[in-house]
Amino acid sequence: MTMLELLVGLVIFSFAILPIISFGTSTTRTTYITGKHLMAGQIATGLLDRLLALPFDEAFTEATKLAGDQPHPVLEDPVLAEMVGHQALAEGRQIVESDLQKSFRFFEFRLAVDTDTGKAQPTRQFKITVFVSWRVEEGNEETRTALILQGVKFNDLL
Amino acid sequence: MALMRTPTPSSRCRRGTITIILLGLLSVMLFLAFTLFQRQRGHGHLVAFGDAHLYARYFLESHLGDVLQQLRLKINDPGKTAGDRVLYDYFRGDATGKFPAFYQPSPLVKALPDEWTDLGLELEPEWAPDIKVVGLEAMQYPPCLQVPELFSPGIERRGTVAVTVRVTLEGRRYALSARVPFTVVCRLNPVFREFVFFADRLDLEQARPFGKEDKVNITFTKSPDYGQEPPGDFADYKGFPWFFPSSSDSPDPHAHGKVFLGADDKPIYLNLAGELRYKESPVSDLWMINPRWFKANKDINEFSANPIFMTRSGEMVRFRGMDIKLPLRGHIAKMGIFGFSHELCDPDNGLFSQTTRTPKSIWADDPSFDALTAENDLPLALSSALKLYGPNLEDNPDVPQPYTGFPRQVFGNVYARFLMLTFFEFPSAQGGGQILPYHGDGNFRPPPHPRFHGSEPATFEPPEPGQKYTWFMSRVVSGGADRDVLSDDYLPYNLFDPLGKGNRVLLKAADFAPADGLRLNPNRNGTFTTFAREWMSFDPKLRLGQPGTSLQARVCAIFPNQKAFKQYLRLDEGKCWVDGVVYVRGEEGLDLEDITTTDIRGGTIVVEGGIRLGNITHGFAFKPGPVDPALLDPLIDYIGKLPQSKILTFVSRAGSIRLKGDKHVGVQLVALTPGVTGITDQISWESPKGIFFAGGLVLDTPNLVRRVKEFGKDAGKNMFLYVPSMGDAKPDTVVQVFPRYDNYDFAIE
Repeated sequence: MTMLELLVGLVIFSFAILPIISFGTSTTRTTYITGKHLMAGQIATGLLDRLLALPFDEAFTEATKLAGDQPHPVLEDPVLAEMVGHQALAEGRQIVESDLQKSFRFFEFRLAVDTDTGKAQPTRQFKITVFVSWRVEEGNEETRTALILQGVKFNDLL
Repeated sequence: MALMRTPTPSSRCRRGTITIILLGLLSVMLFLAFTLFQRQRGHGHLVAFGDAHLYARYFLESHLGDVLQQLRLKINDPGKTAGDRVLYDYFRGDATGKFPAFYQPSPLVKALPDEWTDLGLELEPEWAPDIKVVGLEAMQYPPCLQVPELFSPGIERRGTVAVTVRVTLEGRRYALSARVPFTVVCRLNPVFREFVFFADRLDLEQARPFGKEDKVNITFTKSPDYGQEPPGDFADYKGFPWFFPSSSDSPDPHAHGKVFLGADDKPIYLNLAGELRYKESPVSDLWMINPRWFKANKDINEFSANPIFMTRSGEMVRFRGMDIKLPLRGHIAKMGIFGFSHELCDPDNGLFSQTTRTPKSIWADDPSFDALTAENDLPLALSSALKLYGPNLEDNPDVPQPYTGFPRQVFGNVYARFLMLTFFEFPSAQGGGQILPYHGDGNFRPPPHPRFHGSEPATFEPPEPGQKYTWFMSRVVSGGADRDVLSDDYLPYNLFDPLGKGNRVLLKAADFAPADGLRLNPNRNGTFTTFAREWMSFDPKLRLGQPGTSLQARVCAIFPNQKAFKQYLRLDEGKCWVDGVVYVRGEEGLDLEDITTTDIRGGTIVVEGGIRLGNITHGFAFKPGPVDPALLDPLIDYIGKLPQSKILTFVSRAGSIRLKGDKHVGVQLVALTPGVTGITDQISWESPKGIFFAGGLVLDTPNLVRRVKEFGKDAGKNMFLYVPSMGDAKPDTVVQVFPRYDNYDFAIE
């Protein structure tokens, strides 16, 4: 085999492998984004289910407390903090905290509440909208995207 | 000549190998890339599918919640038009046909699909839910009840509403199904609702009907009315009795509320209050005695002011009584009746003070009189603490005269106790004639009474053969000490005459025949006491919604504490909506302030602990103290029309209800203690100042001694009325939709 043959072979190989490598990178990125999307879905459902499970008045109070234009970092969610602070996690707390930090550091959420009356207080139902956002590229705030989920809370009282 | 390099066979072979390796590598890479691509595509699909799933679930849960909320809202609302009440009627009908269309999506839920279009989701909801009622069965009743057809399989039922809602998203049709249990129950408690007063162990307050063991006949009584300051000896007996007048003038006995004084097998003696003069004492209960009740009387329909005996100055003293003609001309049995009042034993200003007679000289032979006066004469001045037919209205121009009361049914072995004095009068008799003394033998004849001027002595003989001496003699009627001898001559307190034959009868549990037909079963130990025990029994293992025969099995909502229950009532919004049978847990019980709203939807509130209750006024502007007479007529009109759907029943399982207020309209209170063996304070007032109560009281023992004293402090006259609708033939029902779902099923169809 001559040098020329080798070079030609390498060139062909490189041309063949480059798109494959690029495709692999893109797949990895997509998988990463999908993972984040799934995480955001989990955060949104967790938050929504938690609120929907509360008694009507309590749910409304909690929801309005979290509602507003100002986003809240997911890691500052008091329920998450309480969970991490649980005694059962004492031994592995540092690992959990570091994992959480790694996974959720750019995750934020905010809530909106719409009442059936259109006024400040609902009577029979209110709608909770959960926005969970995250950075697609960790270093770039402009790549922040969001997942939106909605649920309606009903008053058991007639 | 050009030199041509001809490849050797070995170099040709090497090149071929490299080509194959390169091709192999490329193939592997392509395969890898394809696998990655497939995986990524699968991942993407999975995420898209998961998202669709998530959104479909949240939409369907919102839709289902909306359907169920509207179901709950409309199911107990009779509405104003036929269209408003399709659900109300459906569940109170046979509930087996096609489920009526009732649902209109609420704006918040209806807007969701449009809002989600912006998220790239194409939702196509099927707004009409698929609903049917399944597993319908009749509610069970305590074994001691006979259940008529109205109730089984009819009026009270349990079943499940099966609801399915659907939506199409991303080409997939999602369905969410759930089953929600419901019960249809009466708002008021069976049997109990028939009673204005139910005391199944009043016998504990009358261990013996005499002396200090009689804690029922404890009201100092003196003309003209109650509430007077008694003489020193009677200081302990100052107080007001309980008055149970009727708010209805209907001839229907079910409209007046019934009374039960138990135990079922124990006698209760209620002393009738006496009077100073015929029909002139509002305090008197003697209007309850009709001459027709006396077997000795055949033709007298009304008592008169009968001159019975003379004073020392020769004036005739007149009492409520009658003259019964005896066989010989001019021979008369002159009868007078006396109630228990201070005048009977007052030596200075009493009925006998101006005469040579004394109560002892008349009734000394009667063992009941002896027992009554064994310690002193005080019991002669004490009448019953319970006025089960209300006050005396003999002098009220607004009621038909002669006043004979109203057809209230009094159940139990309840006897009216009073005194009868009979003189045998004959021509030439001096000083009123010969007293017919007590004797237990019906064939007894008193010794012939000598006449003046040496003629033949006069001998008492009943007017007809077969008539007993005991029917005529002076005695304590229904005395209590001679029940084994003269029980046939005891006079039941009950005024209701079921046969209309002029017989006064004792009404037992077997005679209990409410308009709704839910009677006590004599073959299953059907007594009132048994019913109270069976209905109020609580099984800690019985889960919410499980079938059972007791009140517990009717409960549809359990509140962990009173705070949660008060929220449910929506008092802050000017509502008081119970709409069912609910249970309030917690040792703290339930403490409610005044409920003044008219927006009441009744039901039964079972409280684990004690209950404290403010006024329940139904919007009436009560002032502290006795009810303003101007308010009384509108109040009575209102009570006459008050439907069962607005009546609140409070049940304290701890057997303790304290009333902070003293004005209660449309309220039934139930405070029973299982296995009670002594007198307990089950229903009491904290500071009564003119009690007005319309509804019913159900307890074991009222503790009359304490209540009468409380009423006597500054409460004045009280009034315990029945709400006539409580005895309606068709009880009002409420549909209870349970808060939980069963068989939750989210699926792709």
